[in-house]
Order: sequence, then C-alpha cells, then structure tokens
Amino acid sequence: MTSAGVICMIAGAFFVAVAALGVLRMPDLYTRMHAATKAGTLGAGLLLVGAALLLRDPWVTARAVLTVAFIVLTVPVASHLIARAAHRSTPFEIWQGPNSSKRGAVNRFPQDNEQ
Amino acid sequence: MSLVWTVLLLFVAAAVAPAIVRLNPRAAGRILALLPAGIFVSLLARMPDARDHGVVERITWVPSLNIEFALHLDGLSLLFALLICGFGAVVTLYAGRYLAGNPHLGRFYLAFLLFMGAMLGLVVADDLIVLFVFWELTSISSFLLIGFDHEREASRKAALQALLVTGGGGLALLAGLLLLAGASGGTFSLSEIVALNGVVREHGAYPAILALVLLGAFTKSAQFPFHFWLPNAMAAPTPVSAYLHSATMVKAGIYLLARLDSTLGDTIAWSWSLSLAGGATMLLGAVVALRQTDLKRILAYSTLTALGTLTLLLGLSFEDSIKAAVVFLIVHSLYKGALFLAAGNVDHEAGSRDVLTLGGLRRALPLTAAAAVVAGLSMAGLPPLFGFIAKELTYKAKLGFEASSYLLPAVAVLVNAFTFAAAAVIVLRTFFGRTGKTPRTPHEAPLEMWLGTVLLAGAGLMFGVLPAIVSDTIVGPAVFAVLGRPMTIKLTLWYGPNLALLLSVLTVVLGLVTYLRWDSVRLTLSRLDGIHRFGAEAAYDRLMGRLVRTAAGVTRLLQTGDLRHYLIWAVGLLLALGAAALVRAGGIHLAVPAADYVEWALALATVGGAVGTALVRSRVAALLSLAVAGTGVALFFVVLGAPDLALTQFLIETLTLLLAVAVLTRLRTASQRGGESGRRLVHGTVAIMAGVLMTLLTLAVTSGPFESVVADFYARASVPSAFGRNIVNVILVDFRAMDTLGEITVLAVAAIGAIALLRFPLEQLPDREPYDSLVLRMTSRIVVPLLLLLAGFLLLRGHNAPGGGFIAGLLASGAVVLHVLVQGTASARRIVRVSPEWLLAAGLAIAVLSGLVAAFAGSPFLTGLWVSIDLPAGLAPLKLGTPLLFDTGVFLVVVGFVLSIFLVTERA
Repeated sequence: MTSAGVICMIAGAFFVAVAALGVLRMPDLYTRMHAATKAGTLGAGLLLVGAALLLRDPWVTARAVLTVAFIVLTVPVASHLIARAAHRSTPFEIWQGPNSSKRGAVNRFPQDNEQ
Repeated sequence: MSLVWTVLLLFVAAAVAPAIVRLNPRAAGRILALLPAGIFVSLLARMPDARDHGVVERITWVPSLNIEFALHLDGLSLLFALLICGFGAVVTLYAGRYLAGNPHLGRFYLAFLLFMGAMLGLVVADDLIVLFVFWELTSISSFLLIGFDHEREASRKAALQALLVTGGGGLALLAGLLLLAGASGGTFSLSEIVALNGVVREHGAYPAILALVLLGAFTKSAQFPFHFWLPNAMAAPTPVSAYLHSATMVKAGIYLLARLDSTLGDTIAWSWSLSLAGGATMLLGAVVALRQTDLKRILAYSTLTALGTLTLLLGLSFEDSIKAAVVFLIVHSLYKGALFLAAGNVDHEAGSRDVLTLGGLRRALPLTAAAAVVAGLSMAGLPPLFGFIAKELTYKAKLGFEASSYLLPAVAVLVNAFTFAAAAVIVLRTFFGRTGKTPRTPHEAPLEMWLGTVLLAGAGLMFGVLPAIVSDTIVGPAVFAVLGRPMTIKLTLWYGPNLALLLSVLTVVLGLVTYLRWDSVRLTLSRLDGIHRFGAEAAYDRLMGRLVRTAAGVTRLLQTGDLRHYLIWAVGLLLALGAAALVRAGGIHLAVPAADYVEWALALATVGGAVGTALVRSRVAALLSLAVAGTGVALFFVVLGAPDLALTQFLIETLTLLLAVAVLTRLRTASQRGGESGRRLVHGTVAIMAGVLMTLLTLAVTSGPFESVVADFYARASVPSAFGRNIVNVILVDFRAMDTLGEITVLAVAAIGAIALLRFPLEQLPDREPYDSLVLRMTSRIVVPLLLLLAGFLLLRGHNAPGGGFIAGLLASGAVVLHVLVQGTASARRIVRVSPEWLLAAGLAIAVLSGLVAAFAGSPFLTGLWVSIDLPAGLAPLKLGTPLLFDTGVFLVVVGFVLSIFLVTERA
C-alpha cells in the first residue's frame, strides 16, 4: 500500500513538473492547453490518490475520491472552453511543425457555429 | 386619568386618525374632537391637584443617566394644558369641515394630533430631556402641518424655514438644558431645579445657560430677530395657524421662560435680553401688521406683538408683570384664536382674505361677525372684555417696573394703539362697510366652524365680566407656579382712576386716529418695503443660499462619480491616519520575520500578481493577475494554519473574479486600459504608499510581544461553553454573535442600497443568453447542485470544522452565479424564485429569532442554547443549537448579498 502511494505521489509530481515545462516550451495555445490540463487531471489526481493511500483514513480517502471526481468533471470542461474561445477568436495561429515553412503563418478558419 | 395616559392617548389617536378618516371622513372631526374635549374636562376636574406645588408622576426611563419620564401638573402646566386641549377640541372640530373633501385629511389629523400630544407633553414634562423631546416633536409636527399643502413651493419653503429656525434653536436649547442640569447638581427634574430657587444664577455657566436657553425660547416664540418664520408659516391651513401659530406652539418659548423665570430670571442679563427682544418684536409686529392687507398676515404680525409683550413682561420679572403676563396669555389665546377662525370662515365662505376686497360680510356671516366683533374688542383692549383687564395690568406692570423711565409705557401705548387699529381693520373692514366683490357668494359657515369662534369670543367676554371665574382657579395657581410664592389675585374691570386708565384712554384715541388714516399709513409703510433686504429673513436666505452653494461645491469636489477618485480619497485618508499613528508611536521597531522557502515562493507569486495587475493593458488579464495575488494570500493562510480564512479568501477571490468578468462583459467598456501617464503616476504613488504603510504597520504589530490572553480564553472556553471546536466559527456565532448580527445587518443594508441604485439604470439591459457550449451547460447541471450540496455540508459542520454560514453562503452564491452565467438569466429566474431582498430579510429574521429564543428562555439575547438528540447506536448524538440557526441566518444574508449585487446587474 505504502509503496503504491509513494509511486502515485512521484508520478503525480512528475506530471505536474512536465506540465509546467510544457506550458513554458510548447509552441501554441492548443499544445500548451493540453499540457496544463494534464497537470490538473493526472498530476493533481495522482497526488490525491497517493495521499489517500498513504494516510489510510476513510475520511481522507472519501474526500480524495470526491475531489478527484470533481477535477475529472471540471478541468476538461475548462480546457474545452479555452480551446473554444481560442478557436473562435480570429485570426489565430496554429503550429505547423518544427520544419514547416509556414511557421508563424496566419490561418483563417471559417467561423463555425457548432452547438 | 394619569398624565402619562393622557399624553399617550393623544399619540394613539394620532395613529388611528387616518383610519377614522378613511371610515367616515365626514364625522372624523366630530369623533376626534371628543378626545381633547374629554381631556379638557378631566383637567378641569384635576384643578385642585394643580394648586401649590402640583403633582408629579415618574416612570423610570434611563436610570443610568438620571433621566426619568416624569410629568408634572402645577398651575402653569394646567393653564397651558387647558389652552391646548380646549382650543384643540375646538380646532379639531373646525378642521373637519374646513378641510372637508381634502384627500389628505387623515394625514392632517395625524400630524395635528401628534402635535397636540407633543405640546401637552411639553407643558407637563418635569424632566428636561422629556421636555426637549416633546419640544422637538412640536417642531417636527409643525413642519408637517405648515407644509401640509406640499405641492405649493411657498408652503414647502415656509415649512423648511420654520423647521430650521426652531430646530436650530432646539439644538441650542438642548445644550442649554444639559448645562442647566449640570449647574443644578446633575438633576434633570424641572421641579427640583425650580426648587433650588436660583442657585444657578451664581453658577459660572450661567451666561452660557441663559444664552442657549433664550436662543431656544426666542426661536420657538418667534422673537426678533428670529421672528420671520412666523408670518411665512401662515402658508399652513387656517386651523393650523390658529392653533399652532397663535395659541400653542409659539407659546412654548413663553412657557419655558415662565417656567425658568424663578431659576434664571431676575438678573440684569435676563431682564435686558427679554425686554429688548420682546420690545423689538412687539414694536415690529405692531407696525408691520398695519402694512398688511391679508387677514392672516395681519393676525400673524399682531401675534408677534403679543409674543413680544409676553416676553417683555416675563423679562420685567416681578409680581405685577408675571400676573399681567398670565392674564394676557389667556386673553391673547382667546381673541386671537377666535379671530383666526373667523378669518378662516371668511376665507372659506367668501374665497378671499384681502381686507381691501372684503366688506359688509356681517349680513352673510352674522354669527362669525358677532364673534369677531367681540374678539376684536378684546384685542383692542376695550371694556368690558377680558382684553381690557389684561391691558390695564400690562400698563400697571410697565409703569411699576421703573417709574423714572417713561420709555416703556410710551412704547406700550404706541404698540397698543397700533394693535387697536389692526383689530379695527380686521373687524370693520371685513364685516362692515359696503359689500365687497368676493370670488364666492358668501353665506354663514357650518356649525362646526362658527361654534369655535363663538365659544372663544364668548369666553373672552365672560372672563371680562366675571373675572373671578379665572382669577383664583387658573391665574392664581399659574402665577404661584412661576413666582414660587402665593399671591392674591384680584381681577376687575375697574381699578379706579389711575395712570393706567389714563394710558388706556390715550391708546384708544391714538388707535382711532391710526385706523381712520390707515390707508395712508399703509401706503407710507409700503414705501419702506425695501428695508427687507437688510432684515433677518434676507440674512437667512443668504445663509441658506451659501449653504446650498457650498454643499454643491463640496459635492462636485468629492462626488465625482468616478470610483478611482473615491478610492484615492479613502486610501489617502487611511494613509494619513496610519502615518499619523506611526509618527505618534515614535517610529517602529522593525524585525523581518523568519520565513521558509514555501513562504518566500508564495510571497514572490503574490507580488508577481500585484505587479502584473498594475502593468498589463488588458482588463481581463489585470483581473486574472489580481486573482493570482489574492490566491497567493489565501495560500499563506493555508500555510499558517488558518483554514477558515483561507476558504473565505479563495471563495472571495473566485466570486470577485466572476462578478468583475460578468460586469465587464455586460458593460461595453474598452477591453484595453488606457489613461494618461500623469494619472497612472498618481494612482501608482498612492497604491505603493498604501502598500508600504500596510507592510510597516503589519511589521510593527507582529514584531511586538504577542499578548495571547484573548486567544487562550477562546481556545479554552470554546468546547466547554459553546460546544464547538472551530474557534473562528464559535466566535462568529456565539461569543461575538452580536457583532456578527451588526455586520450582517450592514451587509443587508448595503445590498438593498445596491439594488435601489442599480435596478433602474440596468433595466434597459437585455437578458443574458444561455452560454452556447453544450459541454459547459451539461457540466454545470451536475456541478451546480454538487456545489450547493457542499455549501450545505460546510454550513452544518462549521461549528466544529472549517466552514460555517459565511463560507457556505459564498459557495452557494458562487454556484448560483455560475448557473446564471451558463444557463442564462431566464433559467435562473425560473429556478431561484425568491428575490434577494427576501433572502436578506429572511436571514436577518432567522438570526434575530435565534437570539430571541434565548431571550425568551431567560438568558441574555443571542445566548447559545443546545439540545442533544440521541441517534441509533454507533452514531454520536446529534447536537442542535441556536448558534446553528444563527449561522443559517448568516448564510442566507450572505447569499442574498451576493445575489443582490450580481442579479441586479443581470436583472434576474
């Protein structure tokens, strides 16, 4: 149990660190958003699970589970909204790959009316 | 019937008067007049009580300040009380017909009976504070009555003028009465102060007491130079003018002077102030009355003459003058009341009050005319009327005061001659001579309206013929009460040939001459109208004009409508106060506290957020940066072990952000911030200085030794006496629940203010549409109920673990705000059916109720009471208590507050 908890904690910390790096290094909004969302769901989620495993208190476990459920429920929605906002505000840039000659070019997407 | 009940009954009558008028507008006057008439009779029955030193009734009111609700009936009080109730009955009856059909008759009787109760309370009050309270009440009801015809600007202006003049004097009076009580050894009892018999005269504060009390009395009784409000007060309906502004309220100052004559009187300062003010008022009233052609204005100025005469007589302050004052007071009330009511009849029936257009009305209004003739003879001071006796006594008093000086009698003759002429103008020009062209065809007034006139004039005649009726029963006890020693009163029409009689003959001759040449006198006087520019009223107008201009200037300076200016003022003041505190403390000892790397990291994040807020140009980005700073602070609370504070801070940050963004998206302001660099420099300087000051203060406070007595007490007492382990919550809902109650009341008031300010301008905004993301809308359907559930959980557990009504309220309102933003205004309106105002009211009511539970159980208000309910085996017993109820009230007020601020901008 303890070792599982420790592994969860380390994995959670790793994901948060990688997410932070990603937010700094990723080239455009979508990729950065992708990294940040991982920090929320995977990173914080694993940290909470680890805490529950290590403390072994039913009260803490219950709250950790509820919190993870809440995070899993809400964080993707938040990133969905960010992506949606970015997608809708024109003009915007999308990364075309490290070797793309069109790097930094402006792409216009038609205004979609998805519901 | 006790005095307290008598006074109270009039206030009750005032409260129910509008209902009576609504039920039966025609008979309301007759019904309501029964009360003062009954009190009048009961007072007559109590006449023996009022002899000697009278009777005092006391009810404890504010024992810690030595203030009692004490009422006192002696000769002087009885005299005034009889005038108030007798006259009151007559005028109540009169007004029912005079104002018949007026849609505001109920309101009129409300203010009128309120005045009557206050006036009666004033003259029977034995406690200085009680006297003052009633004194102010008469000013307020007088304001309401003068402004009764509130759609006319002149009425409003006159009402305000009377209120400001008498109210300003009232403030001076309060100061004077407090000083008087201090100089009398701390007693507020009038009868005790009077019994001290002039000790106050030797006291060092005597000049101040005298000046302040006289200021109060002179403004109330319209003495020069405060006289100008009285003629303007004639804007009131005639019954009011007759009652308040000739017979009762304006005599309140006279009453006070008479009451304090033995305490403050008989000094050179007293005599000179009263004689000069009274003499000036008397002369001014007599002269200006001849300039007027409006019946009511003639009467108003002649009332000034009478008030001046009374003040003068009281100023002379010896036996004959007091006797003359008491008799003249009765006489004046009778004839002036009768004439005012007669003028009202004329105005009502003929439609005009201008003596130049009136004439020959004796044929159309025979009864009114007869009464007016009798009253006019009394005013003129002719035998066999009571007015003659009064005038003889007045002359005698003035001759007796200082035999060597002939100035006083000479002025008196002049004034009386003018009064004679004014009486002749009123009676002869109106009722005799050729019939004038009046707007209406005149006929006799109805019974209710001529009865009063006839009764009052008849009383003047009866007392004149048979003065013995009043001499021992009323005049004697009143003079005794003023002088404090018994005095034989013998009133008669014929004192034998003496100098006073000679002066009377001279008066009549002079008066006749003046009347015969009235038209040219009036024209001569009207040429002097320009003098008003230098008068007291012009000074009042200039003062008021300057006041309004100054207020407008200050408003323009401070109330710019720009929040940034308000913040600069508020923060600037805080800076000045804080800096002053630091300077007074003589510098501070700075010790930078030790901090570990977590705290440094948090500090860095917080500072970064603040700097970002100042620098970024996008408004939304600035708000987010601000939220970073706030979250940093909240994390500090977590690190320092204050979960309640941290929770609150997090929720406040979230809500602030939500509200600000919601407002930004609704108001179409530029998304980029701009502004000249000069303004940014000022704002930056103020902000940085405020930050530096707060840092210094925090360091100064935390570097001193920490006194933990209070904290230790709460930590020790929380569980045993309040059954709660969360000390923050226990303090909020139990130990200091009264403070919390005050705070949520302020919250509720602020929210209602916001609703009142914002509802109207925002009514034009369209509804917020549902957010067009299906994912978000579906998620919010799950998240919002979860948040509300969590809020309920935090509320319930708050007493023992982080949470409580405040935090739960913030969370719940956050959930509702989220719902509105996502699902749109219309959906929120369907779900939240109660308005925020109701939440506020319900929350406050529950909080107060939870405190009352303890009060009914015999403990102090807001004491926590607990019951323990045993649950099935294995579960801890459920403990429920009034603090939980109180916390629910806090919860509702917080939700109501946030929702009023937010939903008003959303029009939900």
